[in-house]
Amino acid sequence: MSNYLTILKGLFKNKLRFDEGKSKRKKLAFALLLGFVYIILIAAVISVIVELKDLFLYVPVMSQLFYFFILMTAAIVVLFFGIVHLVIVLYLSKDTDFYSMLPVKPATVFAAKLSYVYLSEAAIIVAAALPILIAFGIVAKMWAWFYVIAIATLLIVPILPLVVAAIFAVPVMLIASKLKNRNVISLVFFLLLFGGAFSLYIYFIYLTSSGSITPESMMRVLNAIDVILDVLYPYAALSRAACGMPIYGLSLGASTIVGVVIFVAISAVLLVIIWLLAKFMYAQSVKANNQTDNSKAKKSEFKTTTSTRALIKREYISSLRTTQIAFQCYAVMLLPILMAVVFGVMLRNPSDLGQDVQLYDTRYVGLLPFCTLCAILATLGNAASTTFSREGNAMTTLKVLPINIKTIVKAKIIAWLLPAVPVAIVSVVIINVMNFSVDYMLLSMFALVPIAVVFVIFGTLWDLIAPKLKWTDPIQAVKHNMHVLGGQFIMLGCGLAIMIVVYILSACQVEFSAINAVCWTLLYAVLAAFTIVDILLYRKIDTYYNRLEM
Amino acid sequence: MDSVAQKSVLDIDHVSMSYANGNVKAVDDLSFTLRPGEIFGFLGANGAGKTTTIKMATGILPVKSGSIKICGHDITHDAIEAKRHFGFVPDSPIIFDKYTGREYIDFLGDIYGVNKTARESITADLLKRFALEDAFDKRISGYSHGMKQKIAIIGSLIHSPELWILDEPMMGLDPPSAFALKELMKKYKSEGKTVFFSTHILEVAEKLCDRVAIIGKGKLVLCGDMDEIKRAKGDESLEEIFLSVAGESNHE
Repeated sequence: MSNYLTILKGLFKNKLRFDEGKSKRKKLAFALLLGFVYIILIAAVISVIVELKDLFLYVPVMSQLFYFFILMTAAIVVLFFGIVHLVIVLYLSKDTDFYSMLPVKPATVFAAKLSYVYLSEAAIIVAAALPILIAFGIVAKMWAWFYVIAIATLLIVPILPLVVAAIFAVPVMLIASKLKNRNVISLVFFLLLFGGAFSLYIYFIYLTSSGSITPESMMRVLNAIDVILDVLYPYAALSRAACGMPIYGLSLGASTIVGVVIFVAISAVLLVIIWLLAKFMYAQSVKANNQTDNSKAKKSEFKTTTSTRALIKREYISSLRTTQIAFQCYAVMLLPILMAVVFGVMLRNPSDLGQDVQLYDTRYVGLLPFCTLCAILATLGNAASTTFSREGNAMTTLKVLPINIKTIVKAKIIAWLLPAVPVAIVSVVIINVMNFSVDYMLLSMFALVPIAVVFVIFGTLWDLIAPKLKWTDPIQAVKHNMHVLGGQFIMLGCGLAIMIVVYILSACQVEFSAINAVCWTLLYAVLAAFTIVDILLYRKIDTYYNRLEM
Repeated sequence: MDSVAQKSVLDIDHVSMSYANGNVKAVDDLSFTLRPGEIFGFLGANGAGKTTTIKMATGILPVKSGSIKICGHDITHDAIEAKRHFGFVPDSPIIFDKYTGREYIDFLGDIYGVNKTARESITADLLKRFALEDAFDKRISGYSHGMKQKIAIIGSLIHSPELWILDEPMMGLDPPSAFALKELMKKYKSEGKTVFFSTHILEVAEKLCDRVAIIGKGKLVLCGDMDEIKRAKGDESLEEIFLSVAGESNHE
């Protein structure tokens, strides 16, 4: 037991500890930045809960559905991040050699690692869901048992998505281990899973938020919800129990006990399944680690190209051949396209927007997804914003080579514009095809695509100012990298700021034409400001590059 | 003065470097020159300033005081041209480990503008010398420390530089590879090119070098022809000379 705890403690220390030499001021700034983002996001969700107050109070089933929606959101988060975490910690971990030589049973190491993944995911769920659940309970005037049940079961919620993650990960891991381009295959799989799960999730929200009150559409919505409740039965049972909904003709007390028991019992069975799957993954990892690669590599040939193209190619090779980095760089690029499709579908028919929305001018709502899309387009700069930090010690090699920083920066910018610009164009085309109007098309084409460009350039140059080069594992290039986080927050913050302005103006019932003008003016102001910032940063790249010391 | 600069392959002229806001002098007014067709050993105890000097000479660290010229090109003001004239093997083989050996050589070949035929002929010889043919198309991340060192050595020579700079090159090499490296250094010298390397292994320096420089606490303690130094010091071994001058330097 003490070995188990020592290893578990070591894993968490390694995860949470800042790099040596980081000043207290920087640590505090990092914590404040995270705290600020956390408060903003939680406040946004709580404001939605407050907006929906009447719905919860007068339609009790909506309370149960909303709680179910929180559980499902938590599960989606665990599924997205848990699958990568699970694979990295249990299968791709670099510490297998280290633990193998310690006088500790492999089963103890495995148990500590699985606990580490589980507790990490549970901690994220608790941090994200707890204030939301409490706020929801107060606003919806839930009974006292809601707090007891919802809070007590919060730690069990990650089991279901982790089982799903492991079920998906094991075959992919086995297939990928037999193939040459295992990282690319893993990435494609994760992207498909990411895109698929996200689309289903958005579709669920679309169905449940549809406000056109016709008997047919209501039946369609209820049927769809029933299917989802059946598929995620443990969460449905828990949400009914927590919200005091009688089941199977039982009394309220008995229904609650039965619902909680169903959830806990199914979770216990799933826990055994995840234990077995994870044990198998870890055994495969140890086995793979003990095997020497004596296979003959297929003989290749030299290929010549220009120095800029060689640098661009290097950017893709280094990002694609590390699964976790590839996921960070490329998965986010699916978001604008997915969001464009979802908003396109949702806004096709204004009557679908619901009665409340129709009290205002329905075109207000057209601006909100547009601003969201703008914020997400900003995330296209994420991959570029870690491009120098990901170099680590390899910067030494680059510095010795006869290439100037302008060529390196140019190559990195081109490398990340090549996927970002098509994503931006596709997103804009999707939105325009689904909701065509000439002014909207012109304004969006001349704003969103250039915004993607200026943010990619900004991300690259911002990282060059103070890249984190001292790391041993590439994932540490991003971990605790306040500078990178700051840059990403600046980009995302611009889109979010416009969204908030539009929201406030629409809440104050300002004329649509005025909101429209403000929104577009702000967008072009952001574009102009970042163009200037990019130019100013570019002028100083020699200074930034020369002061990098390895 | 110009003719001297043109003839020298590496010209380090009154170079200084300080850390910790100028409180610690890593390199202190260092000056020496390397000529074409020689093997030059750069010796010093741990922390003497060898790696800092090499990092400044290769452009990794900025030269804040003094100047460094490579084949007549200033590493600060004419960095790109200066960098074209040397190949560098760092003390720890920091290379792009997501590449295969061939992709790494291809990358360097593209940067230095080496054509395909030259890449093939240069690597064929070097791969054979270091017995790395079988691993050449495998990912560098799977290489041992010694194999990474070997691919770094091969990469540093892909453009046939006039000056070959190596920082502790024997570290991690097995005896056959260390022998192959020493033979390669001699071959390089015989072609009229210059080898500049730092080492702790005095025996290697004694057998291989035409000239050596010993530094202590960032200052040049001794520099000169191997035979001349020995004669001046009463035919002592390089180890004895090193211990006496390094000891003096540490007592200062």
